[in-house]
Amino acid sequence: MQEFKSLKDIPEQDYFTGGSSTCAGCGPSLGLKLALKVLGPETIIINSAGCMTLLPLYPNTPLKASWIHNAIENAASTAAGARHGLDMLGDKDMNVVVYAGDGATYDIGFASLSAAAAKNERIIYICYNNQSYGNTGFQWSTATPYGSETKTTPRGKENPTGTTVVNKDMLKIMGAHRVYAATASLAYPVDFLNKLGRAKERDGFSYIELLGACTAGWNYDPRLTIKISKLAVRCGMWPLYEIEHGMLNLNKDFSELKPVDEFLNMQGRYRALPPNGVERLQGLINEHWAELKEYNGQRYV
Amino acid sequence: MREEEIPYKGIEGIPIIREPGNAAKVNRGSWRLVRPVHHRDKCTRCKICYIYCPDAAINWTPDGPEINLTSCKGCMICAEECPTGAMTEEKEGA
Amino acid sequence: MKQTLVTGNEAAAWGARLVRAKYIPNFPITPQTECIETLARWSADGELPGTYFDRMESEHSVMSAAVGAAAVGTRVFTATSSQGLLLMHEVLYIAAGMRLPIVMANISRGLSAPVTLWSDHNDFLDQRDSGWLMFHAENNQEVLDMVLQAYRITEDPRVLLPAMVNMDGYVLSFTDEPINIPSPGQVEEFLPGYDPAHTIAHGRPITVGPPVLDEYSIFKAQNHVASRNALAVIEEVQDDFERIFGRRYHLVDGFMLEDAELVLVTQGSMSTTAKAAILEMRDEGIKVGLLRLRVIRPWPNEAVAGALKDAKAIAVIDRNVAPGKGGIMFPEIIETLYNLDRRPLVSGFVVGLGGKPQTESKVKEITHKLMDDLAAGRPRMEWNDLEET
Ligand SMILES: Cc1ncc(C[n+]2csc(CCOP(=O)(O)OP(=O)(O)O)c2C)c(N)n1
Ligand code: SF4
Ligand code: SF4
Ligand code: SF4
Ligand SMILES: [Mg+2]
Repeated sequence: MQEFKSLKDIPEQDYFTGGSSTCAGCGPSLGLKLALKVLGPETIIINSAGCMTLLPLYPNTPLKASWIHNAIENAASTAAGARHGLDMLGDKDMNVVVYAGDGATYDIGFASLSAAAAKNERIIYICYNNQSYGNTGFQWSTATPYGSETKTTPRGKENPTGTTVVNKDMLKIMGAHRVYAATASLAYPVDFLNKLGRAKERDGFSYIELLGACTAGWNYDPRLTIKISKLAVRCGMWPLYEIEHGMLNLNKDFSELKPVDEFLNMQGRYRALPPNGVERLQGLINEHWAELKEYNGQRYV
Repeated sequence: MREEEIPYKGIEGIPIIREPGNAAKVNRGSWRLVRPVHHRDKCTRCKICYIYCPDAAINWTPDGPEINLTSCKGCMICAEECPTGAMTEEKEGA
Repeated sequence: MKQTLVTGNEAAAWGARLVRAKYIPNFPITPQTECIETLARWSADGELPGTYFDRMESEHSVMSAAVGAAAVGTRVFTATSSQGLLLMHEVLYIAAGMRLPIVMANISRGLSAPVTLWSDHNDFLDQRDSGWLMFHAENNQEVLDMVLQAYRITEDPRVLLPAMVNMDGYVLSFTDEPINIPSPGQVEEFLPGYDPAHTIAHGRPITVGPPVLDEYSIFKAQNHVASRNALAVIEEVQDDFERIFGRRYHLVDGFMLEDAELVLVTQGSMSTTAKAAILEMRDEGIKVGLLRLRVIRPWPNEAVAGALKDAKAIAVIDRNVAPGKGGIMFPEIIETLYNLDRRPLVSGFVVGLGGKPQTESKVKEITHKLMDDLAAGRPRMEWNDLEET
């Protein structure tokens, strides 16, 4: 596939319509709309239970491609079955693509994801990461960042920090499965869709993790979905990088990161995070960024 | 209904949707508090609004963006991201 | 016809091979292992062309992958047992709700805790309400025949539901029995290729598994009607089956029922022992017969009621238990007879949990207890096999 150079190159054909029940300004919905531009109608999206499950609502669907919602923890296995089923029927051209939440990916569906990746199944696995169990009302997952408040990690007298667990380093984990693993951002659609285009050509498993800004859970004005997504990249909360054959490639390098404060101040979930919490979070970001800089262009996992 | 009177509907009775993209007709306009208004004179046709609309409520035409008010949920991402001020906001019902 | 010695596990594997299943996701668990190992061996030797043998990381993933493959229109086979079947539980409902004709062999084994490797029927009866068709074989020939028939029944447009073919662990799974293995040509004649109209295909984008609002009960009712439809389909396929393979089955398996005053209701392999005991008791002049349940879902009301209505007393022998209630099939039989003009006395016996062998003498003991119940006019709920070792 020809790489896109700018927004203007992105196909004008959509395989996604309005009329869904997701929130106005929903980041993950946008992610799927964009992805389908590259994937096209001969694609099966395998969805795990989560916010995106409400895209279709019988008898209507915004999808012009196929869709299977099975359960929460089995998108990767469902995809493997669909892939092999199609292959055995001689239909090698259909794309099989998972679109799963972070809870489904990092937590409850991790075993099935890990197995499908280890077996290098010809699947594209997109994790839309809204850093929580969004559909159930914004509870903590192992993708929730340090310092974020969620419904199950509320701030209180005993614990003013909210989330005290540091989120899993999922990219590294997936990279260690010897598959293609990359982060992506809604604010960098050219980068996202080029990664997807490359994944589509690969004869094996690809893992793309898209930060899915979530207006309801992160608690911000829906108009800010792209602004926040961009800031996440600029402040190092969501660096754009990829791991292939164990090698790290930092896609967006900055001589200096923006301080995390501006990113935090835009979202209700970080309101009232005490200064020492902000400091710790900034420390974690810096540490991760330094690691990426150190290994950029080198063997990482 | 007595059990034996329930008609068997064949594949019509299976929970699948066989009309791709038929949600396009679902009206989400009622969700809006504000609506985007496009000003052709200021528009550079950069496609930013079109790319970033999460509900595919902006169609791309040779003349630039065209807002579909059936699908538009009024998130205002388009107005926020438009670099030239060609997308502005208006209160619904104003 | 040539007879071959095979175990129950191998009989199920032969079924999968002969129906040309294209996708076989699997995960090992005793006593099912030999079934998937047999398929693995054939696959490695190139004897399963066009079939993908997929080693998964859990039974939950096995059933999930089965759903994925079936949703694109593939003929799928798998096998499991016990804890593995329970791990699939969530996805079993989904497979049925999506109306995907997956066929799975379950080699029954008691459930933990405590751990047992031996057979009882709690594992699959726990899936009774999942929407699957549930069959239960008595011997290895029936295991193979049931797998062949299961595909024909589940793929029928009037049914489109998954089916579980159950056999008793160890007693069948690891026991060689002489059976007829039909030729591929015969099976192809009985079961043509599978070309479903309700699954994803090139140029046919559909949305599978969407949330619904008011329609939920409409779809559940369709699942129910489809399952009820299977009763007629099961009977219908017997003509073709008999013509091609020379064997015929019924919704229920009756043995010496014509003049039976006492009837033992059984399931699975213990039925063979019970039949032998009945022959001996008949010699003693006891008018006893047997009804073996081989189709558990859909429930063959009329066949069961018809077979039992003239009995004076019935012993429902359950190799399973619902603690706090009793045997699981006991109330199902009572319910089936409840609206008859004349109701037989029905006693329940919980036996053979964790694989305790059911001998002929135990069957006779149950029969005598049933005679006592009839004389006293008082039914019982009895636990057998409680003597400590
Ligand atoms: C086995 C099981 N447990 C719990 C749930 C409830 N549940 C539905 S969606 C969801 C959240 C999933 O989170 P994530 O994967 O991050 O997707 P998101 O909702 O954030 O889009 C949960 C916990 C479920 N559907 N199934
Ligand atoms: S809660 Fe967040 S992820 Fe879920 S639909 Fe709303 S915006 Fe999208
Ligand atoms: S973003 Fe603004 S300038 Fe660009 S196409 Fe849309 S309306 Fe025109
Ligand atoms: S307001 Fe939101 S939904 Fe409406 S057209 Fe603009 S981006 Fe799309
Ligand atoms: Mg989430």
